[in-house]
Amino acid sequence: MSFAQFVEGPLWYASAAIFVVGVVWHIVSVLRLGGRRELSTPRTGAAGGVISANLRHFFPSGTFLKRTTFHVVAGYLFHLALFALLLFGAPHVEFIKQHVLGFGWTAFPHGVFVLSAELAIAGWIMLYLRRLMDPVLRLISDADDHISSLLVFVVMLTGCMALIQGVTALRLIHMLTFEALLVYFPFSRLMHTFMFVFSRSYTGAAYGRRGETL
Amino acid sequence: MARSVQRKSSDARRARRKRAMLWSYLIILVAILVLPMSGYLYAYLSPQTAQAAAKQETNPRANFWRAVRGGDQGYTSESGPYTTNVLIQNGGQNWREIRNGPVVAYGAGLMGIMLAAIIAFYLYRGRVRIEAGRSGVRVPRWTMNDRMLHWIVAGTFIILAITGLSLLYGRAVLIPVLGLEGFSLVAAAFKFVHNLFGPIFVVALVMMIISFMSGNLPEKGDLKWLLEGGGLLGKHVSSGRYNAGEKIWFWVVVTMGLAASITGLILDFPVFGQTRGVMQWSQTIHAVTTIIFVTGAFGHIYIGTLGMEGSLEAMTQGSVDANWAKEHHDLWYEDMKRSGRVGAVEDAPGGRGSRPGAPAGHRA
Repeated sequence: MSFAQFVEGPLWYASAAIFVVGVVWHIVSVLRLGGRRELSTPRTGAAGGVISANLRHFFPSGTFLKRTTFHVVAGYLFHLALFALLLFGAPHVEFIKQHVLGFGWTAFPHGVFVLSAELAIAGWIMLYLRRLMDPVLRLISDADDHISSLLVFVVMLTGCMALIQGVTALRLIHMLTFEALLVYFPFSRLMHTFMFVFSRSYTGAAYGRRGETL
Repeated sequence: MARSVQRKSSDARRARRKRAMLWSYLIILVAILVLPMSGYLYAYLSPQTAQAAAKQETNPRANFWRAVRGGDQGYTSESGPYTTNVLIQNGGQNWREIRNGPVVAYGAGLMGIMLAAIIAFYLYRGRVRIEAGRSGVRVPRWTMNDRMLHWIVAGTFIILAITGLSLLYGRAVLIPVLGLEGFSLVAAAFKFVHNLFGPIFVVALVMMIISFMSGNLPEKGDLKWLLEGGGLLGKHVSSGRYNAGEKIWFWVVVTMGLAASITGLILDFPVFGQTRGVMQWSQTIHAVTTIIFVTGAFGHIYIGTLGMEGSLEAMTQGSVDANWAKEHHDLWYEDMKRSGRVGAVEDAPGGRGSRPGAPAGHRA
């Protein structure tokens, strides 16, 4: 078995398995913690609070609009562009078709794919600089925040390099860094990809029962 | 008492770590830039190169080659936006000779001279210290937006410089190290990275130029500052928020940065009917302007980090020590004092806000 076959075969399946099992384990562990028992009589149902908290947090609060504009813009820029190129980049669609689902979908034209990469990189730079320069954010950032951010950047950077069609070594470097990201993912704050729904729901439900909306 | 001694020792350790970090950065920077040039120099001075040069002088095929380059048009059934009925596109040959000749050679020379000058200056002058020592009082200098723009431009610039210089000097420097296939791989990867980061740099650069423009227009006193050498060799010279040296660097960034950006975009998006000639000129202008930009950046990076105590924190923390402001930008300091903004900073030099144990960033 060649190194390329190993990276795209057993190593890929192993890292994907760690990712799936780890994410499920993480979510189940958090759910099993349960919540604090509500002693007061619920004023309204929790469902309204859950929906409200999940939807309203997609938009910046009017009170903090000015202070949050930068990271809201950078955050949306980074996340939307990242997921766009992850899900609609032609090489990714092809990979998903061959190695994951067995079917694919229409991919972005090359130009749009490159534009998404540009926006994702620009968003990442803005967000990471903010982490380094904002005194409060710098203080509360720990090793995991930096490792997660840098790992994502390395995957994006090697992805840029792997845009050259037909160069196996560059594709393998991108694949290896992505596999490292998959293994690290469930044990890091990158879990916010899934957990943001649960945390918003938990807080929304608590407020909802008290007749408050977030 | 014991706590005070402990704090002093901790401060000294921190200062040592900072010095070690700054030295490491400088050594890495010098290594990145000097090593490729040494390889080029080696290739240039090697006996094979001399032999090849001698051989070229007596090339019996010169007349044939001259005829090929004559640009006579033949017949071809091909058609398209580019000339296809000429055997050798003469402009391309000229472009290659300019690129691999004077641009590469003088570029390396210019950057090398700048680095040598910086090292000589450092050995002569040493680090410019805050003469009165740190006051502990902070003065806000750059807003978060200013710093963000600066670091986006700086970060992308460094990536572009490393990838760009590798492409320009790779033939002479990286092929001997990596081999042909290895360099082909690195060059292709670097080209993609260069092309992707370029547009981000352009957008951030334009925003930074707009943001910093108003303070960098020439003023009375700039000439005096220049005539007195900016105080680098002797006593400090009066200056407002930006001294003449900073203004010159700003205009180098504007001219060289915009020229490199425009030509870079022409090269990055060759889908608007650019002719070969336009692409060749763009590449040459791009290389020359970026070499000047990189050369200037050496000086900027030096004076902003190792060369002057207290200047880096202006861009990392957003504020400077009051004594630094008094010594280097006295007129600006007086303005800040009059407007009551001296001490109106919460972020401290340690970069940890008001965390206990961090150096004081107290209000005046």
